Amino acid sequence: MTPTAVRCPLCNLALAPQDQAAACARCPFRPSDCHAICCPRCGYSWVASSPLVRRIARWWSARRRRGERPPVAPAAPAVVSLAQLALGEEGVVASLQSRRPAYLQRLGAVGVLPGRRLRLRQRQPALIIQVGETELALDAHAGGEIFVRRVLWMTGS
Amino acid sequence: MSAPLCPPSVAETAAAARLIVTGNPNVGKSVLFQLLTGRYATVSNYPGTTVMVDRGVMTRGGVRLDVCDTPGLNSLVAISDDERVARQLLLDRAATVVQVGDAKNLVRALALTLELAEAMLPSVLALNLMDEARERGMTVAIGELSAALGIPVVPMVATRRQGLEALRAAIPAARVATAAVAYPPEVEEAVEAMLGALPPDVPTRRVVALLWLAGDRAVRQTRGWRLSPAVVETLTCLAAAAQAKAAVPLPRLIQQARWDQAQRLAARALAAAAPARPSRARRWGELAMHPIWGVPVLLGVLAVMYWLVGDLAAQRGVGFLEEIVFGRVLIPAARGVVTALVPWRWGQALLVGEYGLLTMAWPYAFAIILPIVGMFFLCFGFLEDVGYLPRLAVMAHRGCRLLGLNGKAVLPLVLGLGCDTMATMTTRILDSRRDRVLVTLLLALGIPCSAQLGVILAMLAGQPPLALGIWLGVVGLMLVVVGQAAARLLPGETSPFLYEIPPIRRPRLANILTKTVGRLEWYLKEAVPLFFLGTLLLFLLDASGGLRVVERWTRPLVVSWLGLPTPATAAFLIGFLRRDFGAAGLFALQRAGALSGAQVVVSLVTITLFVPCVAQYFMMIKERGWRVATGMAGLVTALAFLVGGLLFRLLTIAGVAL
Repeated sequence: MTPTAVRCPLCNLALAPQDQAAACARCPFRPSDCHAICCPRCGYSWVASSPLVRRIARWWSARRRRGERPPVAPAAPAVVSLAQLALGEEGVVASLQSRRPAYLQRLGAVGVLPGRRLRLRQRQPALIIQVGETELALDAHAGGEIFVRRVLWMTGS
Repeated sequence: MSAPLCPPSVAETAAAARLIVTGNPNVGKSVLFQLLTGRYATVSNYPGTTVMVDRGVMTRGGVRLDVCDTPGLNSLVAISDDERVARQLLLDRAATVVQVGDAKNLVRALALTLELAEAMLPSVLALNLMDEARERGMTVAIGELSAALGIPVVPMVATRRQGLEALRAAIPAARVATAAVAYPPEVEEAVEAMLGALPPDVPTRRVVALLWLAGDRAVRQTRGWRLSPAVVETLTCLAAAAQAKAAVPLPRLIQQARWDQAQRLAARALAAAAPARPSRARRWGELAMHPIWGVPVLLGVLAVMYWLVGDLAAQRGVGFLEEIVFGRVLIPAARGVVTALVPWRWGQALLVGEYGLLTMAWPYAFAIILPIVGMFFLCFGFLEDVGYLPRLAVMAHRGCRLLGLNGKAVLPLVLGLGCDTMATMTTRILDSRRDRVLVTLLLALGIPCSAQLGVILAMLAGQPPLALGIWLGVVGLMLVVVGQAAARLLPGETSPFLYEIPPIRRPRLANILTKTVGRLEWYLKEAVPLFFLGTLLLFLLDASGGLRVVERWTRPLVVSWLGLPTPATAAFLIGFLRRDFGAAGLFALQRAGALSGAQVVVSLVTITLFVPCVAQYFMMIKERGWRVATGMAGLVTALAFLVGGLLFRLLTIAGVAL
């Protein structure tokens, strides 16, 4: 299904653009004045949500999910970079790769080492991770230098 | 394999008279130091409060012990200057160590304990912050932990003095921990080989070998003088050969083995209940760093501070003290007494004339600057103890990239708003020399200290808001331009950002007050003599006619270029001694109605960007060397006048009425 396709909320018919044109042809209103979508099968009509509304809805549902553990698709790769973790998700450090040895030394000295659990707490304005009871602020680079094994993927199956 | 190489008793007898308080950052080392010695050490809630070694004395059963408080350490492998200071202190001479550990972060504390054991340091583990661990549902089996480590372990809540007596009693029982790390064979083989190459008179050879393998460059340099070049070369070859054989970098193998062991030890002693709900403090802490809600929190903090410092202290406080206490009571009284008692005219002028010690230095120091600085220190102490500053560093991370720096650099820059001199010293927490130089320059250029800031805000409060906007805009622009230019010119790249965020804590009023009084005392001791000196110099210049000569010479600069009235010259002259003193001079001019709106803004921009004060200049020399310091001071002064003059022309051309 392409993201632009519309489904009728009542009968779940997938509406192709030509169906829409056919429905409008039977309608007394002028299509240019009308923002309603009409289902050619069941006759139910509704107004498509604007991109702004969709954005707000997505942001709102993401906000509500933040506290819970986000669902992870079974096909998701086991090891991902820190940047790919969802907010609030836990992972086990798998490896660290950086061309800055002093930085790795520092990360290791506060306990960011393979085998230790960490949790991504915040992405903006800086990455914030929690290791044990230590909270660390890191720059965006670190998101691509620390690789973690997703915890849910390991235990969820 | 890791059996002690020299018997602990040797170390113990040599260490009897020295006690070092050390531990991870922000676990309460300074609080404990204060409790043990009764000496005040600055205590705050952010990593990096202590950047130099504080020394004190405690007596135990009639025996005097020298106590040192060190900056925080995560590992003996030191990277930044403050860590190097702490590490040096620990390895230099034998001493007893009180390791302060965070009970809720036990693994991390134990990783350091294991390293101290390798350095053969007899130690006691003071497990602090037991209250925070309890809040999180953790309990530590102290007896088991102590048995597993082989050293005394004392549970403490240092801010409430809990466990202090037990700690005092445990210090004589300090010994080298028996818990040891089993390193992988690659590491052990390399250590064995290096031990063979190290001369037997080097103490704690094992830790030297381990630090060497862990990639610590400083241990090669500082310890190198004891080793002949041949030995250094052998060791370098051995380390390189060992690394060639291992698949993983040796530093990583060493850290990993140590943390694994720490985790095993902690798992045996730690019982964690179900994690509690996030506390209210934690939620506030997250809010203060939130990409969206963090901004209103920041604005709120700034607004409250502006109201307290800029309005309450700088307007009402200064108004009351200067006009009523000094203007109506003290100065007329002083005039009366001096005219009655001192018959010579020049004596009268010295004390109560235009540039008199009693009529200029005295009210400037106590009526104008003291209330402003006092209020600022109070607010600042509160923010420090709550733990807001590191969150500010996170919020300002993006902005700092504009200055060619990472978010950690915000800390010295924000501390500079308190005192640029101390902030220049705090640049030690930064990892690279490039960042330290850059921050020192920006501090000298455009970060007004609290005294100066207070006076500036007080002057701007009497102007339309546009004046505040212009001042902020020009100074901010200068910081960005100079920061960017210097970032491009200086070799090296921005060091990676890695900063620890402490928990939000309920501040203790007593600590805030002690800190404020301590800072005020320091301010009075440092600034007031300079105020008197500056006034004396001005008086001498004025009396000898030199002031008129200087005013004539600088006329093209001050009057033609900056467009300011002639008396402003005196303000800039004393600004060389202290920027806030200069600003106070401008404040007095403004109150006398001698400055127009545009002149106020031009003079403020100039004095903000103006030379660092004498104390800051000396600190810059100490930290960066006299060449760099003098170069910076010259650059900053030239920029100040250049920008001030340009701004005056811009305002005139644009016809901005302020």
